[in-house]
Amino acid sequence: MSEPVVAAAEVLAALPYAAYLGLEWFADDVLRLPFRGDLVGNYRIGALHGGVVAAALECAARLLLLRQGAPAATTVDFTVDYLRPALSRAVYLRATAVRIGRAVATVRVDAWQSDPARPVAAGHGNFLLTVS
Amino acid sequence: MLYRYLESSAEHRRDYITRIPHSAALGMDMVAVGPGRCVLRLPFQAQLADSHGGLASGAVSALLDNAGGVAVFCSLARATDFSTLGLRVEFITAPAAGRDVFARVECLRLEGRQAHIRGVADCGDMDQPGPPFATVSGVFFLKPHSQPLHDLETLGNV
Repeated sequence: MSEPVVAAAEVLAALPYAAYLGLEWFADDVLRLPFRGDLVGNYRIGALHGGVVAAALECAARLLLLRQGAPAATTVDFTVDYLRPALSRAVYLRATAVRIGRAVATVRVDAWQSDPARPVAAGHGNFLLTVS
Repeated sequence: MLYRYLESSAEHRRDYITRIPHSAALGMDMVAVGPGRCVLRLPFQAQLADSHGGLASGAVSALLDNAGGVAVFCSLARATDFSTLGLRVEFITAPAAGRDVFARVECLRLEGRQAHIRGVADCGDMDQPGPPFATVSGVFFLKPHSQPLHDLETLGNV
């Protein structure tokens, strides 16, 4: 995969919803979603809302595309597999470009909490790159 | 069926949302329910907007996931815990700039431990759906041995 062409901080500012969720860069290719009480879906077990997990995965995919210099990326479809409950601690996300074409990009995202070998969710989606 | 509990009172519908911290934070509103189906509204707010001026696709996914959960609840005979196993959202367009989003979702069938949902999102009105800008399909998994989030057992057979 090619090196990022846009600085990490710059792309977060371009995606206000990612900022609302509180996504931040943890490493060059890893995002972190710090735990916050208002992100919870199931208060009994303190698990994150399924929608938060889906949104974080999708944001991670779009942030990757922004860093690759594809500013007009819009989501065509996004699919999430929920593998384990995301409990009340930070979530880490790594997006991988499967293919970045001229019109469409396909991205896969993995999410984990304490151990990358024990993922909490996996997502994949298609994104439209052309300006309509 | 449990939908009658939500159908019977606006307070019950509000209370259901209030018990889900993130849904309350986003300001979700349960507009209507029926047997195995529901309509949820996400009011427009600038902090959830995308660069195109409409609600961000992530916020729409959160609304559709939540609506899927309510649709499953509305097809249950008794309070049962469940969680999302898989969710797929397809965007035909982005939601209209500055508009509220409505999620209209139904539980197609509940069989064994699986519940399958389908639905759409639009920028219409309370009772007048607009053209769908997104579709959703998903599977929820029932967990009969854990305590349900919305524990209505004290209400008996609603």
